[in-house]
Amino acid sequence: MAKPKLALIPASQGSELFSVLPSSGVGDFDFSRSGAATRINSQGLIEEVEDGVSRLNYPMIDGKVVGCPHHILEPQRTNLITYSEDASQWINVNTTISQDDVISPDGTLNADKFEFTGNGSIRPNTSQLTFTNDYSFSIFIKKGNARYVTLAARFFTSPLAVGFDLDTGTSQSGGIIENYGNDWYKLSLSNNVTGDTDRTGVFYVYLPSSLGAESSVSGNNAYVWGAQVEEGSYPTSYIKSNSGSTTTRSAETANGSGDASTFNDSEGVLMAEISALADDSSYRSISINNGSTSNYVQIGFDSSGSNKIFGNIRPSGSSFSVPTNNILNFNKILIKYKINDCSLWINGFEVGTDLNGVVSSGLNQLSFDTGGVAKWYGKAKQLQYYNSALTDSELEQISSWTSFTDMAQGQLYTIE
Amino acid sequence: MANEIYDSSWWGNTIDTASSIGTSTEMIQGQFNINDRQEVEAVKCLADSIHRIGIQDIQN
Repeated sequence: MAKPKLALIPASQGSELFSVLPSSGVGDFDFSRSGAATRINSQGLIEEVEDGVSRLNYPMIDGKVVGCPHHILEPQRTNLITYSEDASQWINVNTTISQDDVISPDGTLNADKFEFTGNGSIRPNTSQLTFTNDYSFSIFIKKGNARYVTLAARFFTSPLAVGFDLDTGTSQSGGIIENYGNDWYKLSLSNNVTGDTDRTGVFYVYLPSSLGAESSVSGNNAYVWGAQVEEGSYPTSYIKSNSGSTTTRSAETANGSGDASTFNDSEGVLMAEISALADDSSYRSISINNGSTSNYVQIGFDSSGSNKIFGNIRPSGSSFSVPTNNILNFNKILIKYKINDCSLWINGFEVGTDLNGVVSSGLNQLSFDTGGVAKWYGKAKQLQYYNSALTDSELEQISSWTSFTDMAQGQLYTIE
Repeated sequence: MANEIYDSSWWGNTIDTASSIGTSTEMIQGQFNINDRQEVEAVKCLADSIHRIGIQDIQN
């Protein structure tokens, strides 16, 4: 009978990730994070979440919250900007700043207006910043009278400039533009500077007359809030850093769900509806394990290539690695384990089988990692664990979208 | 009227869902117990998911 033994359905924030099954609470995950973080709340506003509290994050499509929330787990990042919400503290050229001029994406009157009085720029970082390999620059911009915005990263031998069009909500290659509603967009770019001469750079914002130009037109204006520069190959959620020093959000962990009586060593099914933070070929695992890195049943994102999903059973069992369309969308992934009968399913389709499979032993917890390594960062919309192998019909049903709306929202499609 | 209860009330949610998923009392209990451990924010999402799992249980 297809009733899960353990089910995590994100619906609460707190010191744990709360599982609805088992009803005793033994399925709750121990959660940790040092430092505050932000989330998108049910009103679509960016909201700060206290140190040690898990985050319930709502998906947005075209600037509006659509569908049910997910838990978001992110790696450690530091916002290197020291006044992320106060443009008057930045290094600005030929610019007039009007502080606290409009409502920002956090819903309060704390976003600044900037207007150029000549060919100028605004620069959130007041000193040069040095990176080991990768950086990401992100900033929230609301249109004033200028259509185009250019973000530029000036490095000695690896400069990068990307143009954004606020009328069409599009960007040049290398940029990401996300609609946060009320005409606010999060603009971002990332780059690798491993080969740069000194890997030290500065970050500019321009309001040009044409897409991608690194200049500003006198009289052009826009609104700005939430500047962030971080070491990493993709931008993460906004870290408020507005008190004159850099601010760090530590890596988030969630583990210790269930116990030995929850999991069946001989057979079972683990299902997760998840999406990645970036297609960066990092090894990110969710697993049933025994606390070690030798006995586990795991699923997640693979390090062997772009948009790959994997399933593994150890100490010596099955290994699956399967490409999918886009790991940035929510995918329903499922692994079935049973002696000589293991399989991997994605979005209702069986994508891998192993009729010579063996199983793990001593399974006693479900974790967003595997024995403390291969830590999982991403967005989780649900987890389910069944302590029997289930039929193919049941596996298809559990890993399928339950409605067209469910599927469309999972893929962040707009339905018109 | 049923939809209004379903959308806005914790107790309404649970009662509305319970009638559909029959014998799956542990899921109903799980829904109550989560709220005891931590206030539930996404009430309708939780109830809808429990409802889906319950339907799945009956169908199999």
